[in-house]
Amino acid sequence: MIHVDRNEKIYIIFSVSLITVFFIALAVSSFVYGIQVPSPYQQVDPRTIATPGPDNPFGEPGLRELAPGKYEAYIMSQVWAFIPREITVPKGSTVTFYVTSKDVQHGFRINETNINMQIVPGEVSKLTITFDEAKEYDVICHEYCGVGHHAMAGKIIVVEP
Amino acid sequence: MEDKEKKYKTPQGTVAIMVIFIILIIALWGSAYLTMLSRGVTVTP
Repeated sequence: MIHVDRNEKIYIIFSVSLITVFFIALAVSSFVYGIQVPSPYQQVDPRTIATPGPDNPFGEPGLRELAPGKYEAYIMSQVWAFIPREITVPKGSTVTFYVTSKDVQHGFRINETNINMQIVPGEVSKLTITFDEAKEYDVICHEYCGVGHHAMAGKIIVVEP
Repeated sequence: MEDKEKKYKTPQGTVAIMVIFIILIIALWGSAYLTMLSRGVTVTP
């Protein structure tokens, strides 16, 4: 049997326990609390995605109300803007964001929320959030996308119903 | 073998630095984790 010093033993046990705790915490947040990273929702052709058509919601991006308090938002990212730039929803609304890019890679982050997606041309990223607080949320592109990257921003305005 | 081990003292400085590091990791990680939980779900309900 290999000799392991007492201090080393403590260090090994503690390190493995810490990683185990972190891993369990991540699993709990994912499967119990429903917080997940975005996965590619759909593949699209970035050359035609901005073309209006009956089957292409990105042809006319914007907010659509599915039911009272339930929305879906189709956002087009391009150099150097989000279209639409602003979205207004009532407090308590659940909004599912579908975001894609028609040119280069972008980022889509709504500050002070768990919405944080990579926007890759040819892919649609999807995440859902409920806005429980009436305030303005800044939306920023967090992936360097060219000289106007710093100006690529938007806003989600949550108002009292 | 045992005589050889007894020559070395417990590395108190290293242990102290390790403890500080571990407490920091737990505090930073825990704070980020709780912030994430407080910001709510991201899957379609």
